Amino acid sequence: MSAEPTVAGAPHAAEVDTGSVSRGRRLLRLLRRPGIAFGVAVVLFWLVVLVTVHWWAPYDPFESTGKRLSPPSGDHWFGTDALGRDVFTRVMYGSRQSLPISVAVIASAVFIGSALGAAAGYFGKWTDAVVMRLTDVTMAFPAILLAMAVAAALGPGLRNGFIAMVIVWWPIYARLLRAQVMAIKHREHIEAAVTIGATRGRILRKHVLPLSFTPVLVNATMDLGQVVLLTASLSFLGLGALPPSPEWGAMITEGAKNFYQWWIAVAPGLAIVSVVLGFNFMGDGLRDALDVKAASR
Amino acid sequence: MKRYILGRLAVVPFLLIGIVTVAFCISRLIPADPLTSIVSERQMGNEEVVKAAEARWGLDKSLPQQYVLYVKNLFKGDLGTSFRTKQPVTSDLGERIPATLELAIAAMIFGGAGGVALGALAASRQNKPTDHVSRVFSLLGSSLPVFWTGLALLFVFYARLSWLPGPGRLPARTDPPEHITGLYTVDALLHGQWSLFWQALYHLILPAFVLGWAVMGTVSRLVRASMLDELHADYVRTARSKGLRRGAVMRGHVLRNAMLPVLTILGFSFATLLTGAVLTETIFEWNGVGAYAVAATRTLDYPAINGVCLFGGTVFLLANLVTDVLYAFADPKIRLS
Repeated sequence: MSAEPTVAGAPHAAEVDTGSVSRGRRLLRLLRRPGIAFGVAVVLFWLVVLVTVHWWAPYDPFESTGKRLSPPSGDHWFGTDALGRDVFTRVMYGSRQSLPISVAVIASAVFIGSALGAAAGYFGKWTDAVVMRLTDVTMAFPAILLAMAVAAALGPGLRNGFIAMVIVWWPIYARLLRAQVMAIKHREHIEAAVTIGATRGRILRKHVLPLSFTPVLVNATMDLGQVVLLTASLSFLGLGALPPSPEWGAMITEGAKNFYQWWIAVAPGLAIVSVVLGFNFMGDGLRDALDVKAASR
Repeated sequence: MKRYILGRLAVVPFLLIGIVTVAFCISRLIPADPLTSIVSERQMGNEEVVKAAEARWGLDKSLPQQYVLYVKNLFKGDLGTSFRTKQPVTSDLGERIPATLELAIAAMIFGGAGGVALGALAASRQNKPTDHVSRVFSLLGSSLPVFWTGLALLFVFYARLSWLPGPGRLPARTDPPEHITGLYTVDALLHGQWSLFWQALYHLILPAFVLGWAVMGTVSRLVRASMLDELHADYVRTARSKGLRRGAVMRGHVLRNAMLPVLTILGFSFATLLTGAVLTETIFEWNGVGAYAVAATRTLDYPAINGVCLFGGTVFLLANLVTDVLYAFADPKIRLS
């Protein structure tokens, strides 16, 4: 080690920490990092598929093509399943299940969790105690077991799966926001705002929440992938999307039933992996690039 | 430090009450009539049978009464009787916990040791190809759906290549070793049954790999980040300027300090493995707690769902507690306070 040690993210500190550049411009610059660029490209690809699939999909996702369990060929790139449906078409349509639900889960979890967490951190006392004990108890359960139990209790279906997953995820954001608020609330500019008579709500909205943007963004990006995984897992276990809906996890269940017709499970699996990897690469890169600790050194 | 540990212990009862209550609430949320899974369809019209069943399971009482009854039974170690297996949930769990424990330990050895090694390697070769490969490998671990990886690996290594055995803990028609711990590998060793030991170990490879990969990913990322943090600390420069070799500084100083945050994640990972084996166990027909949980949710067997939730919550609680206490011993900042 002869040269100055390079801290992860430090070379980009200037990009991250310049107050003069707008936030949008700063986020755009992040695309220069290969990991983030790869992640964004994969996610964009699936978004385009999601919006346009009904224009170009070669077959109907619910109708049999007449050929059952046929291996991949020029007509059926990923073969057909036990009911003769085109696997490629169904995988492409699967994006309409997994992506919206994960965005909805994370958006709801961020919204509920942030509101409760910010309130807990800012008001303290019993608000804090109640919210934190609630997160303690919720997080005391393993995510998959809690989601399974709630989904089973409410009955199968993606809507109930959604509720189960929001219950699993909100505490993470409540804790995150609480820690952020606690760290920020005694800074000088907040105290200045208090002295000039700003209301608590205004201070939260204008001064505290914007500073929590970065950690929430990083966490949410990583978690989007995890929600895609959990959605697929619930469906795989028969607790999420129900047949005949072209959901990736449910399609893998069909593949498991036809173990030797490997092509049925391969394509939905690859779809899940690509989406989750995309979100993970984005999150990992964002964490490195936006890490306040590394950037300030 | 005594105060710190006592403080952590004091919270445990409250968390336990919380866990017990939530587990109860979830199991009673189930809208389907539990009677349909207890009483056979033909008997549903028979008022006497239904009444008897209701009294037997305490379903004729109000929810708060049911809760009190449930807590009372809990103190006696009675988790109720599974609707599906018609056996006490405690004995059901008792039979299945060793299987899950064996799988979790194997996955932990693979994921924990592999993760530390991979993370240390990546940190010492930061931004070199090794680092990038390790990053992709770890990210893959947390991106792959285990039920899919399990299927794919079974297809390749079992169905096609026949290098590794299929699902299950032992080959078909093989008697497990006589019960001591319930961990087949350990029991076989204790009885000196070498071939059985190898068989059990052989069957562990694929599920442990599949389950451990995700842990390996998280652990290696954390070890890397934590080692990089330490590598740039002042004491490293001092040690180097004293003329210590790079390898000696790495082993003697950096790795030791970097392991502190890793401790936390290791404890947590083990808890996740114990409880998160749900999908792996389903694919590998591993008769553990995870597979039991799946069967219970499918049949709305709520004493069993309840039992599994309690088990999971308690494991998490204990793992966090043990981690915190270990941390207190390992971190001089807490130990000496």
